[in-house]
Amino acid sequence: MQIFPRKLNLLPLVLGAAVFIAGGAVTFGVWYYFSPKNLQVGYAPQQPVPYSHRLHAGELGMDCRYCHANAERSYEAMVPPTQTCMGCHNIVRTDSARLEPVRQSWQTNDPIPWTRVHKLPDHVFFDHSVHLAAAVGCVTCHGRIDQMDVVRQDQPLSMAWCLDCHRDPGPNLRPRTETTNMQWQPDEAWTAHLDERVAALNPPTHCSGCHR
Amino acid sequence: MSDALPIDTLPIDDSVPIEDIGERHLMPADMTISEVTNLVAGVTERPAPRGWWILFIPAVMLAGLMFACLGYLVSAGTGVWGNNAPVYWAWDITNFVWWIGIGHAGTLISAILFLFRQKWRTSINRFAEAMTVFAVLCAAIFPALHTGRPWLDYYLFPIPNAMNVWPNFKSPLMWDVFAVNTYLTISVVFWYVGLIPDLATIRDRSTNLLRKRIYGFFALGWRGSHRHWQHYERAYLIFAAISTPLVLSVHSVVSFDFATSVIPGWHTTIFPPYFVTGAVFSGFALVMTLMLIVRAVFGMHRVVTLKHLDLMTKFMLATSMLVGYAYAMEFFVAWYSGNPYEWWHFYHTRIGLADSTGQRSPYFWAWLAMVSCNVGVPQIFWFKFARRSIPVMFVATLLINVGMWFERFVIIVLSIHRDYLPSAWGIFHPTLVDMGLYLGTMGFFLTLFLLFVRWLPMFAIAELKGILPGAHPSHLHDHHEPHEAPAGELSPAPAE
Amino acid sequence: MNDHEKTLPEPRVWRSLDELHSDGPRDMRTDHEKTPGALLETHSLLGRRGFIQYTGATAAALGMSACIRRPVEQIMPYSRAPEYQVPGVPLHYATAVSHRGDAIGVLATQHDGRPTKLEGNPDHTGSRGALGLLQQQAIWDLYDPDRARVPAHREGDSLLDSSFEAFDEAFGALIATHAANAGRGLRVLTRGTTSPSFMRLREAAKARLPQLRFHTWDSVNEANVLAGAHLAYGQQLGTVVDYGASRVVLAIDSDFLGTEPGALRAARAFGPTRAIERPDQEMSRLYVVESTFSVTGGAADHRLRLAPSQIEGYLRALARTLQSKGGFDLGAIAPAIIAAPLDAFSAHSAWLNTVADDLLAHRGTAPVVLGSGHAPALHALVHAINVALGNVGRSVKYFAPVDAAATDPVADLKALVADIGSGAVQTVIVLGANPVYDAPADVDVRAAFGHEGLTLVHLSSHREETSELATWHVPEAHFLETWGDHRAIDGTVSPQQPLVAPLWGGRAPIELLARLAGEANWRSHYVVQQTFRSRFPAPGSFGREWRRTLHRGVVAGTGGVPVQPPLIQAPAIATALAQAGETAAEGIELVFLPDSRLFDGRYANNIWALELPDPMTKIVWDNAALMSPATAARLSVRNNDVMRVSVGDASIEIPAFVLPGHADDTFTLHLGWGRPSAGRYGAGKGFDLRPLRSSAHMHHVAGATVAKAGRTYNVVHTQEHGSMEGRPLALDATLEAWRADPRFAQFRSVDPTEGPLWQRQDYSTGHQWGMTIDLGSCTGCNACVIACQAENNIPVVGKAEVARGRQMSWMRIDRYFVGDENDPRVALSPVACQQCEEAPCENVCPVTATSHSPEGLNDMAYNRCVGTRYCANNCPYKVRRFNYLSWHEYLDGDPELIGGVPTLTPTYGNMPETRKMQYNPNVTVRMRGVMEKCSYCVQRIEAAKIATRRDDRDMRDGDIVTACQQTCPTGAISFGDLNDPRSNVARKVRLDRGYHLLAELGVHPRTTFLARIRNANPAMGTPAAAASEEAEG
Repeated sequence: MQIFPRKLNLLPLVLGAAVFIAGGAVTFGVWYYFSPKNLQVGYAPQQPVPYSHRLHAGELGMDCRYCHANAERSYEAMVPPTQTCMGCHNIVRTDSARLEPVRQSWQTNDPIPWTRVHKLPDHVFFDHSVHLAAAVGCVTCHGRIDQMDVVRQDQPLSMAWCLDCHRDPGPNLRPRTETTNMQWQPDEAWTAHLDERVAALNPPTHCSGCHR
Repeated sequence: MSDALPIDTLPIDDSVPIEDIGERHLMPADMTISEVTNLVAGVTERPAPRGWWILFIPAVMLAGLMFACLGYLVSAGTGVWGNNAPVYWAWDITNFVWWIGIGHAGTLISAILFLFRQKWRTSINRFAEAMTVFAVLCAAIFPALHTGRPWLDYYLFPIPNAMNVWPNFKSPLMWDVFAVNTYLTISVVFWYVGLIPDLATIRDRSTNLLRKRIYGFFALGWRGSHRHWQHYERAYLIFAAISTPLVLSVHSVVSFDFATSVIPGWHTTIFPPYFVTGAVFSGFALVMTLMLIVRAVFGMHRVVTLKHLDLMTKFMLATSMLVGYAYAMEFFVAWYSGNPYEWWHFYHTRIGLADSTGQRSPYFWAWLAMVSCNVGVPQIFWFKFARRSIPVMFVATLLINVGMWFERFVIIVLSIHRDYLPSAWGIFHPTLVDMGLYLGTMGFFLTLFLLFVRWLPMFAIAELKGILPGAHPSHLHDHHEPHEAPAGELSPAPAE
Repeated sequence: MNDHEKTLPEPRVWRSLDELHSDGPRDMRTDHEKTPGALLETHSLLGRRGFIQYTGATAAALGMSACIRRPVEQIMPYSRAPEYQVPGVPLHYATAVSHRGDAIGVLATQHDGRPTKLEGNPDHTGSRGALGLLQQQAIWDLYDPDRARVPAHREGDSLLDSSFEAFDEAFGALIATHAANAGRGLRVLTRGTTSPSFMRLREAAKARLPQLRFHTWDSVNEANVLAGAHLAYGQQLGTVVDYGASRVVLAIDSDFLGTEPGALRAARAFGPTRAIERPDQEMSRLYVVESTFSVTGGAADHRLRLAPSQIEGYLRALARTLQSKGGFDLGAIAPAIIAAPLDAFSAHSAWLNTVADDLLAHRGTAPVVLGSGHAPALHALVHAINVALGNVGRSVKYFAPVDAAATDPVADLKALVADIGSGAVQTVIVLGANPVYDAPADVDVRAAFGHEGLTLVHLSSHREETSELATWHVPEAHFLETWGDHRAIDGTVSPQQPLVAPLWGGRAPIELLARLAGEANWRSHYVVQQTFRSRFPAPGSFGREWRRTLHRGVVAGTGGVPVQPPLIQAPAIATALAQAGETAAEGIELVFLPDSRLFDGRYANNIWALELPDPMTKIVWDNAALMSPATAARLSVRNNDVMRVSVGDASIEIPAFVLPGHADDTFTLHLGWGRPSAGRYGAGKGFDLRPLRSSAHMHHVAGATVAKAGRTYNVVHTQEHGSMEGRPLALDATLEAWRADPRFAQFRSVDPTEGPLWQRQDYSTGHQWGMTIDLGSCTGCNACVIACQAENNIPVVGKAEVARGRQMSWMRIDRYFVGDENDPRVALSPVACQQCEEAPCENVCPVTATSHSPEGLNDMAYNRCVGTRYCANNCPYKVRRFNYLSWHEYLDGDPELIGGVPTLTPTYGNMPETRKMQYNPNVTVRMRGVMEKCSYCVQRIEAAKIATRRDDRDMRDGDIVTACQQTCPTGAISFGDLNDPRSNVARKVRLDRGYHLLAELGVHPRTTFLARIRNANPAMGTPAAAASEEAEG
């Protein structure tokens, strides 16, 4: 007596194939789509003030540190206080509608609620000052800010990504004078002495270097 | 339960070596092939006897308790257990090792005894294999959920990740993860492969279509042809060969969790063999306990005869001596090594000699319990009456399992509650959650086990037939019969 | 996980399961950045350094409305940036605090507006960079959620919240009425003070209101010491013993390294004289005669146990013995002490003759010190002895009194109560004191303050026992919230500089005084400046001088100049001695001592203090009646047996606790416990001794009767086992033994000759951090333990969990008793993570959550830890701590848990925001399920490394100071780079006293202990065969 239809003999084959394909798909999906590379890079929220880095840093050529003044002193690069904006804008474009929130903040003494773009994973103690002291350029982690109207996250900022550089910092180093230079390219003179710089640098790759 | 027993028809002749016993009269002489089939397959067809329900209902309730405790554990934190400093591991790991140990009998009986051609194993191996699977499941709960943040357990598996961090392959816990998983997988497959012909038998006996379909599905279209049998036998042999080293490896690896540490009482090279013997010992004990119950509940006295039990008791007697030797050796090594901390641990913490402040270890009773149960109790099996009295066996095997739990408790808790710096000494008190969880796993185990005996052939039907007197070459019948027999009961060879 | 969700007020935002499940604050940067937002409503109350400084980013969660990829977070920069403030960079301010009539210099750390940590100010002449336990824990009080927040006014029987405006008005009116009648019926009850401003205003107020009268009250005070000096010299003098200049010290019932006045100063000076580096160096010798077992007794070379009533006899006998020796003359006092009976001490003849010889042999450098609890006459006798020994001017120095108007608090309080009773008083203003809780039993303050028609104004940090009777209660500002000034006992003047505006408002005592004195501007800032103007007379120079002073924390050129005391008033002393005289009585003698952690009860709600083990008994969350084993046996009581202790018809119930080495037939009882209104954490913890303590017997009382109450009470302590079991753990040797065998320590604890099987990491290059702990100078005072707790965000778990053995402190001080259980010696060893080079914990962690850094640190990555606890099992030192539950929220769950009632269901409550504000933002706050341990303050190491890289310079020795090292009063802890040959630690590691704890395991610890040397006097016969040697037996 036949209790199963004949075609059921295919079942094992079909099952095997299904498991193989589905498994592969899931693995790939997780590996790619759950990675910061996919989840984080390209994040570009609208800001309360349509501030354009392209204009200020790019065309006007202002130095990053004019606004992000603490980058070399503190673990935070610091989003500038309204004060800084008003430094110029109580003279320049004083009536621009797009600057209204800034003027508001200046009068009410309330902060401008900027939206955070670059967010590191929890539990990592990142320090801007030491990275600038080691002469890693802004562009390395933040990309061509000078070409962005709206700031966009350019790098994954994942632990793996950090380690890549900490294990081989050479390619991301530059003269201290050039840290804020977005166009800088290494030349012969530089690459010639890169090795001893890297040797002297020797960035931490152990836990407590970043986790405390 | 003993009073309900029919008196066995055949005398036990101890002068005859075991093999011969096994070869000649393992089964009652009047046992026929169809009786075996009816006995075993019948269980899955008749409604469950009252005894089954009496065991099943409380078992399910206990299982529920286990899940309640686990939920609470994960939501509130490991602190709901009594673990503290310095006793960072307590009942959790004790139970883990205990269950894993129990899980050993299965593979041992089905694999090693199989390779040694111990025919008498056929009445108990199915049982033991099932037990193994369920015990390992219970065991796995503890390492998985004793962690402070169980939702991060996946850190223990080598998965590529955005942190570029891999597990630490130097850590014995890491080895544990692999050992236990391998063991579980192999045990399940081994068990299942053994089940196939019997599932087919049940399929063919069953009358309603649903049963046919379900059993049929798992029987993988077994038809009992000679090629099937050929492949089957070969597969079975291969699996036996694969799992034999596992019997040794799993508990050796578990023992490394302790042996590789620096703590007095843990740091010792004798652990792998010590743990394996202990495991086999406890495994056998539990097989026997359950066997006695099932035998009574389903009236399987003719399948599991007193001779089987007799052989098992002897086996336990032997392993108990091995364990006893390990206990003694621990003390010898403690003295011989000249390591004052080791010495102190064994002579003060374990035996409980008073220390310089006149205090005694609060735990010496644990050590006494372990020795008396594991070494003392089995000695009774030197006597024939004990080897033939069901109540004695039942109580003894229960005591042995208690003793084996204490062995793990002694090794784990006693060693760490007083180690190097007296200032850091402490004591452990279990909480209700500790106890609830332990009882719960027992319920979980029993539930699974009872479902197994109820719905699956609890004895290897086909193999049993192989050792029937009728199947013996010296028997007058046509010696093809036993092989034809199962096939004979199959449905007519399917079309095309 | 539900209970964790309810711990977070705002919607949970998460990017990973890890984060979703994690509870409470994880990364303090995200957390402390929340707090400004949380405090916005208090905007107006907070000043320039207030919390409205929006630091970096505010993790304002917009909930799941955010896209799935990530939560939307907002960054709230300042609108106007405050001066000095670089977001993320901590600031340090010099300030000061006073304790027991002395001032202590403090350097306070402030993170983005939040004071988070107190450290010693190296420029201060008294504390010289050290900080004591009580000052370390004071930072917690700032964030105590139970501090009174608004003034309260009595309506009928209840205190109702009012406002500062209302209070100011009412107080103004009150003063006005008394101004009208020249202050008649107006009394001010204050604590003893060291503040020049306070004294200035007190005089001003008296001048303005002639009939106004001031009273002082401290239940633990220095009155006897001052009175003794006055008796001896006929004038007010402050006495300072210079232990640094002492060779032989005889401390009689004086815990001068622990709770006595000037203990911090003493420890600072005494420590170095114990930590000698070569056998041929001079080492001080300490004799201690005491009734309890104090840390000073633990540090002693020779120790004699005497019941408190015998102390006087001993002192007289000693004086007589000295007198009988050549070249020592007490002059007119001699007759008074010739009568002193010696026979009582025949058993201890060495303690008279040998000690006397030793003192005489070290004239000038052999100070005798007496406990502040003993009668003035005895203190006067001690002064006389010091004079006769030629110590004055060399090892004993005198200074002008800190407060010339200081009075005897007991008499003062009695007078006040009497006057109230007679109806002569209409108004009492209580500044800080809490007499309803701690007044002597025979002075019924409660009744007095409840007197019909009395207006009682109470200024205190909490609404406490006294407040409950008050007409007005005013919140007292924390010393980090208000301006003030302090004069140290040696005259050094320090400004007390606030780091933050009062969290909820609050007044300083000097502010109320200023209003009494009729100052138009009574704000503390102005008041203190006024005081200082007189110090910087040069016109126009004030601003500059003021800033310099604030920067250094001390007024340049003040202090350190002793006065030449007048001739000793021998006849007066003689008559006083003749009148004085202990009457020994039958029964048990009781000694009342301030608690090492709660002091007189003012820290009773401080969870750090409550869970800190007592240095000797290791008891937490309680006090108990301490007694010797012999006495316990005689009374047939065991630990935890509750006893009814009665003096006259007053009695209390208190559990017994056996302390080896305690004097027989004597109980030690610690004050400060059992406060009904201490606050949510401390209320009702421990046992109140007030009924037993009468004004006549503030320090000790004889003739107490004891009966078993027939019940037991669970006293929890953190060290179950007090014996080393013959193991070479806390090593020590006598000076002779050391000279005979300089390397004894290494031979006791031997590093294995064979290395491990695997290739060892190369530690020869780069920084290699190491620590040394000198057991010779460690007194076990616990300051390091609290400093560590404050620095590293270590949680408190409550009595019930400590009873389970789950206390979390990263640093524990192991206390072992050695020798005869009735008269043992103490061996201490502070144990934190030893940072093993071959760390057993690292190999066994399955997820590499703990691994080794190239600089020799045993790193712990909390966020990687899954909590298998294997590392802790495998740690031979058992220094790892596990977060079994979510400890940070735990205390705010079921209050029973704090009380020690074990429970099956842990409950989590909402942690007060203020407590979060204390957290160090540079250290992760560990969630439940995570292992943690000492990291050698890795956050400080990394900060220093970043600084050096930023400034392009090399690391210097001393750039990194760990929290425990910084605070250690005796300087027992050094830390630094072992590869730097010039570093302090590298030198000490090579000392031949150095050894590794459990070296025989081959784990190669980075912490090196320096074995303790006991400078035993061979002539004393018995003691100090080294503890460890005996331990071997």
